[in-house]
Amino acid sequence: MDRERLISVNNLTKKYKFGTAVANVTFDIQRKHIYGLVGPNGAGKTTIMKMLGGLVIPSGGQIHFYDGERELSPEQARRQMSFMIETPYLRRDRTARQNLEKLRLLKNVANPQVIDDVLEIVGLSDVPKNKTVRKYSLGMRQRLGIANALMSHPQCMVLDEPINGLDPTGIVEIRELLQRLNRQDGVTILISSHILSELANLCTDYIFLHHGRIINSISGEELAKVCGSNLLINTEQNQLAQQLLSDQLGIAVLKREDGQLRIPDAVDCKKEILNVLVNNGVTLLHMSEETQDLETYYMSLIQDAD
Amino acid sequence: MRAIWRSQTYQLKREASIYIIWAVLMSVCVCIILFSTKPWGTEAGVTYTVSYAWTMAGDCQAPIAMFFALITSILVMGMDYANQTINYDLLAGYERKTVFFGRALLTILITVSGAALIMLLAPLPLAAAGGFGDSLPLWNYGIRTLVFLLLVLRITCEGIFIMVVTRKWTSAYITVALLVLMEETMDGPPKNELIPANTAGAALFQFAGWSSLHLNGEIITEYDATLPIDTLLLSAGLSILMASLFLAMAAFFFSEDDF
Repeated sequence: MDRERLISVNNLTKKYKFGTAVANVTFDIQRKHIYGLVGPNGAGKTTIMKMLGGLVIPSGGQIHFYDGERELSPEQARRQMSFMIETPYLRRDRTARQNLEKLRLLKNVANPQVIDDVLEIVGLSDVPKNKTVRKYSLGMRQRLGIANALMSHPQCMVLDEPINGLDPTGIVEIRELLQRLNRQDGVTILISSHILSELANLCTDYIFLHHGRIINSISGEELAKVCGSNLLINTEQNQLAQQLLSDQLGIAVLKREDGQLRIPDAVDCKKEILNVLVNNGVTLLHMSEETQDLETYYMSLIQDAD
Repeated sequence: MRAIWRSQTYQLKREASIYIIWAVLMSVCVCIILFSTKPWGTEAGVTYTVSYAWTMAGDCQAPIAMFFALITSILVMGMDYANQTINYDLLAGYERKTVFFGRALLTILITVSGAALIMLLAPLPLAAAGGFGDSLPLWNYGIRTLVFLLLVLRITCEGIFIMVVTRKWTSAYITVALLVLMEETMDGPPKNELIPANTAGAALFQFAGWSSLHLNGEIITEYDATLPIDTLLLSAGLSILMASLFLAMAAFFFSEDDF
């Protein structure tokens, strides 16, 4: 039994009348990691988070929650977790403190002082107390949602695009906050965002989704190895080159949109590749190493998946 | 469930609309009673009493109290759907049945107590003109009102059911209009007047052989005030049955819903 496993998702599926939002998704969430859930709009990120939170009932598969070796019921687990899914759910005709007080009572957080504390942490303590949420900007509402997520000192946070609408300073503040929570308090985080550069600065692991399926999951260390180890080549006969490399070296060669060939993880095989091309009369026009960041890695995954 | 009650109570105490609805309907009820009895008038020099107003409950207090129950049940149960704050109840780690019944029981408490206050308080202004009188004994009115409150319970559960089923609509007013339409279309030639809510309320406050006359400045009423035990028992039974049915159906839909 893996004592570090917090959540185990097995073949999770959600079907709607209009189609399948999530299909046979399987992954584990390990304690004290920060997972980035990456995917385009409609990939199923929010649906997965809603199923973890109990808002959406799965059509198939299971979700298991653990505390060490002991399995918890979903309700027990969710009491130790906090969620911010889609835009924060707030009463717009109430103030920030009134919204948080209601949620404090709901979560059985005994100390009323916690409201002032979390507002201070997210940078909303200077906002006039009688200002209703209706007058808040998007970024302020996002901060309020994060404040709510912090109130119960959770073991695990599930955050759906928490930095959406934040200014650059706010993005840095929230990133530093999440890093601090993870490093100092051991909080496990599952976060989705469209700002891949921010995820790259934050996450220890990545789960890539496309059309409701996981197309790849990778740790930060593995990603660092993969990124920067691709070869880009261009020849006079790219199609022939692709066939030759696949047949003779067993290499999966991918064609980019611009016609060039990408050979993943092949920087160490340059000599063999050159030999194959030269021996078969294929004229090489260009060869270079491709340095990838999370964004280019993600785009290459999506391209391959399509 | 206690935490759900506490957080909901915190919110509902600050919900001005509930107080306003109750105050408006209460005022309407008082006005109807006063205009029906004209205690300030000197036409026939007749003095109406509080207990006389109790005999009018079927045409006045009861329909208004039922209307209050209808609107308030949809408002209270549905207010967190549009802004999705009900999602926090589930995300906080409560089972769906706990969330549903916690909210439903609080809704019932509010509607039944609001309706009870309308039934008891609306006739009181007449005390200033004619006192309590003896048109109807208090215990008689009390028992009828208690059975009537079971009808209010039924209407509340109906409102809860409608709200859960139609929650995808962001406008609670459309829901209310639908429910009113549904209740009205149940009128017509019912086999038993206790089945449709709008006639059941009046049936509880009907008096056999009713007649009244004005004599020497007093209103004298003659009627059979005997409690119609069969009617009361049947009404109570039907109300509990239908309330249970609506609540069970609502709980089922709530448990199967995606938020």
